[in-house]
Amino acid sequence: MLESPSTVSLAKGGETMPEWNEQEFVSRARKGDMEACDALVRQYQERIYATIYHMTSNHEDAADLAQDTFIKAFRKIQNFKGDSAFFTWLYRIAVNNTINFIRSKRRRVILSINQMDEEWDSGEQLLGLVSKDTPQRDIDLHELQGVLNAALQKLSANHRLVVTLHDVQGLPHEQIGEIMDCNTNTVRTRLYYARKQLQALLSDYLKP
Amino acid sequence: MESDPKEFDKLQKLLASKKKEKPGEGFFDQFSDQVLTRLEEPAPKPTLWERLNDQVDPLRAAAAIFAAVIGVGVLFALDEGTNLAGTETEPIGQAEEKPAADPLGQAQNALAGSGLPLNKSGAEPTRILINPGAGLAPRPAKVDPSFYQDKSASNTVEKLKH
Repeated sequence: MLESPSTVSLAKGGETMPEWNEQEFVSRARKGDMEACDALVRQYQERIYATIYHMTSNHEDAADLAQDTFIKAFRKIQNFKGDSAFFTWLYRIAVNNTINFIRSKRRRVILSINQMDEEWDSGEQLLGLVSKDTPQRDIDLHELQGVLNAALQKLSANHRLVVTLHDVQGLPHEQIGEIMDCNTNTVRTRLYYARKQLQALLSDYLKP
Repeated sequence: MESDPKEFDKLQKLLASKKKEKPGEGFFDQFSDQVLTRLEEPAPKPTLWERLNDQVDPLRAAAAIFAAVIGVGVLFALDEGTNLAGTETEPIGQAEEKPAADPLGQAQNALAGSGLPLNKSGAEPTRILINPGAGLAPRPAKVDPSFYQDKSASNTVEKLKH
């Protein structure tokens, strides 16, 4: 098994430093090198899974769709012309796959919420954002997650995607525009309306 | 669209907390192996739609469809123009009024629904006279000759004979 690409060490200027050479792995994957495919999966699996999970709010669906994304990408890697970063191309496949899935399963929304990272200790901080006038005063972190995910599911696929990529994943507007195949202004507009909608949906929970 | 940076501050913090939602332990350790195992399986046969999607550039396809629609439109317009040129126009209001057709062809002795006359006997239909009176010999009118005799004016008073 190839070691994780984040720990791939290459000599550079006499120093050993971790470096991720995406182009090299992509070119090897094109030739059918399974180790390169493995490296690419390990490099991007968490981000691809997370994007899909935040779009679907369902762990099982996210796991299946993430696998499908990588399989589709490797089967069509000959079509990747290198106009954009491999990561952006991969994201585009994931996003299109997920939007198609959401549209086909619109009526079946079952939330299966992942556990919060145990190392994360700012749960108290997060609950501090919750209004004291909330309908359930003793709302806990898990419930808050549920409320937030349910509110996200009420957004349109495009609005949900832009919130996920920007506010959850922290991607810049320009990259989101590339992934969604639209300009930056469209991304900003969608983000604004998506946040407005979310704020209205969560108005009972967020402190004024 | 730019918004007040603080407008969505709390919402953004709440959304950022979603980053901490993780799948079960060991999920990502097995993930790559699962992908590679599936990748080694033979690929399912692509559907016609998938093959078309791969081989046809959607922009070119859209351009071709647009050109075809325009072409058909032009041909139709040319055909209509030819028909109009072959039709004599009549001044407004001068056109001969035609009696309204029987509604739904319900007239007596008419074939229901078509408006055509019903011909059950099989006899030849009556000859339609396109120019009524044509081919008939002119006949002089019978007039009493006394009609043309000179008559006194109606306002003269005749003398009574005693």
